[in-house]
Amino acid sequence: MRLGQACVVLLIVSVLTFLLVRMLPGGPVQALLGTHNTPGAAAALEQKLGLDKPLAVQFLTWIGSLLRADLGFSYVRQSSVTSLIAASLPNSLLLGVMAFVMALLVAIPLGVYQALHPNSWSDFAATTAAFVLYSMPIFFIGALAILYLSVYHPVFPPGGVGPAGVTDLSWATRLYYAFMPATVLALVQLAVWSRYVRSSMLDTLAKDYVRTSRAQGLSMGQTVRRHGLRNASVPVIQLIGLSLPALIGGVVVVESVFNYPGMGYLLWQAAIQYDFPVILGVTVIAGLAVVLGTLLADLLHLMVDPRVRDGIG
Amino acid sequence: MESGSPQDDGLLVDPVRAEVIHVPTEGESGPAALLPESVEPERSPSPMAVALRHPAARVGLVVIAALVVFSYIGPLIWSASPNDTDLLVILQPPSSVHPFGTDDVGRDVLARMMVGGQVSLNIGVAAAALGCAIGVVYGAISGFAGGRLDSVMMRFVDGMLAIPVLVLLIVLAAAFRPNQLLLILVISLTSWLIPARLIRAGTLSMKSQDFIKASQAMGSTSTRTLRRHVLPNSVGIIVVNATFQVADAILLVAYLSFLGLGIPPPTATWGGIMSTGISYINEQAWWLIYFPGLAILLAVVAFNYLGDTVRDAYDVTAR
Repeated sequence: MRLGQACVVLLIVSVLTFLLVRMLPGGPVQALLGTHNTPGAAAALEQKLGLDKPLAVQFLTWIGSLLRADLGFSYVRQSSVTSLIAASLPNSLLLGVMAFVMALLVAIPLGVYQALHPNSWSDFAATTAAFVLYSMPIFFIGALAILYLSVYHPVFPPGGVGPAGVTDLSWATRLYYAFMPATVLALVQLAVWSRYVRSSMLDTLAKDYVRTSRAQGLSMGQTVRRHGLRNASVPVIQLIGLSLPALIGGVVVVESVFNYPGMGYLLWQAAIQYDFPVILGVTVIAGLAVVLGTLLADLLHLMVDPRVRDGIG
Repeated sequence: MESGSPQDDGLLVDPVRAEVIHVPTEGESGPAALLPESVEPERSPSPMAVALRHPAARVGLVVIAALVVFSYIGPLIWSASPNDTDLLVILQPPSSVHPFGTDDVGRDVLARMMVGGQVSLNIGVAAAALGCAIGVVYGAISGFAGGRLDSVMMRFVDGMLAIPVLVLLIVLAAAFRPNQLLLILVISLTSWLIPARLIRAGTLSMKSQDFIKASQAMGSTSTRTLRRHVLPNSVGIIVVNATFQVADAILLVAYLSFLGLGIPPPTATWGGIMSTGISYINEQAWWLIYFPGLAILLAVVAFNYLGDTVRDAYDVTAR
């Protein structure tokens, strides 16, 4: 049922992006030829790229090759879209997973602490900080990080995945280079998530079973561990599933700030160069990632919440 | 005749219009019976007024007003041209001649910040307004229609929401190379989704309430019911969400111009200035990072804060 819905979503994503790209005024041919645009050259290029066929045929061809994991050939770089994505996807995954883990590791304890001490001075400070961080443009945090941690005090490299020219990078180098962009990305997510953990935990702590458990003599810490965390995690899991699109958007900006060669950087370069097969490919992969993430969140929800698992309530 | 006080939920009174809908009793019929009886309802001050009287909301409003003055009135006072280059004074830190410094081709950053502010505010407010308008119409139709149409319309919204907004915007910007007007359209194409969902939910919950049923029973057309009852009752949700949408739109404009996919140069944008700052970060051109960064932060915080305070005023449980 959810799987069917996910397929519908993917179909919408691919149809939309395909139509968008093909509806351009002038189209990719105009964009690629620029000043060299003569009717002869345009017709030749159109034929070469298969753009002279009807839209429906083009779409079916594209979907057909998509199902064979063939995303076409870049207009600009001498490389297939699949190989470009294969080269950059691992970098983005590392960045995304790192940011995700960092954000969770801070957001959950922070949110729980705030919920246990509501309206205290530290709660107020954390809420304010989260509010400002949430409104902060990612590139501003990134620029400040580079300015202070790479330029004024050279602690971290200002960008890239590793030293120039080195191809086989060790895990340590990769993590070192990904640390600053991942932290920047984590800060923004953290701001949203900690606010949510706080309110979810506050709701849970107001429940009768928490009072019962306290009345039975359990300490606050025991109560939170036994009842609070699991019950409060249900809405948080849902929120995290929903915040994947935002995380992916953040990846694009962070990778452009740090010249980090992942999917976002690839998309950005492709957009500037009108490299439409690459744009299409990256967008479809991003849609796929969102759908998979949502399914994963649902699965996790199922595991955590027995009411859902047994179909009650 | 039954008529509840305006506070009574689920009676034959539209809480916003506060007009008592007269239900014809036995033996009473005809056009006169269908006229709403005009009563003087006891009205509490509107939540919006309460919210705006709150000091917290004023902070947001004052910051927004300051940004408006800076962006639109500023250029009348500060006469430096935003686009005149001067290669003798490139990358100068702030000084009395150039209070915000100069950029990589010697343009005055203060003047460019003002123009950038106009761009951000124009696009932010217009895109949010347009997005909310689209969302309201879409959501109201979907919620009111119900059934299969509703589920198809909402699956479409789900599908759109699964596309990361920024990715969608980059695709659109790559396709259209936008000017200001096109950028408004493009951003509103992504900002109508949340309002549509909220309004649909509001419509659904309202649809089952008696004052809507009563108005329909008296032969009000769907359009009329939507216009007279559903929309006025949703003003709170719409206004609060619109403020958040402005904040989001300002951020999105900044991201797009930062990526070089927004309004083409030489027009100044906050994101564009920041992008130059990062290109010259090894020259320690901090003024090209701090001024646009703080301006965007201030604008986004102000709108988010205003939205938060107004929402709290509307939300009865939070009051």
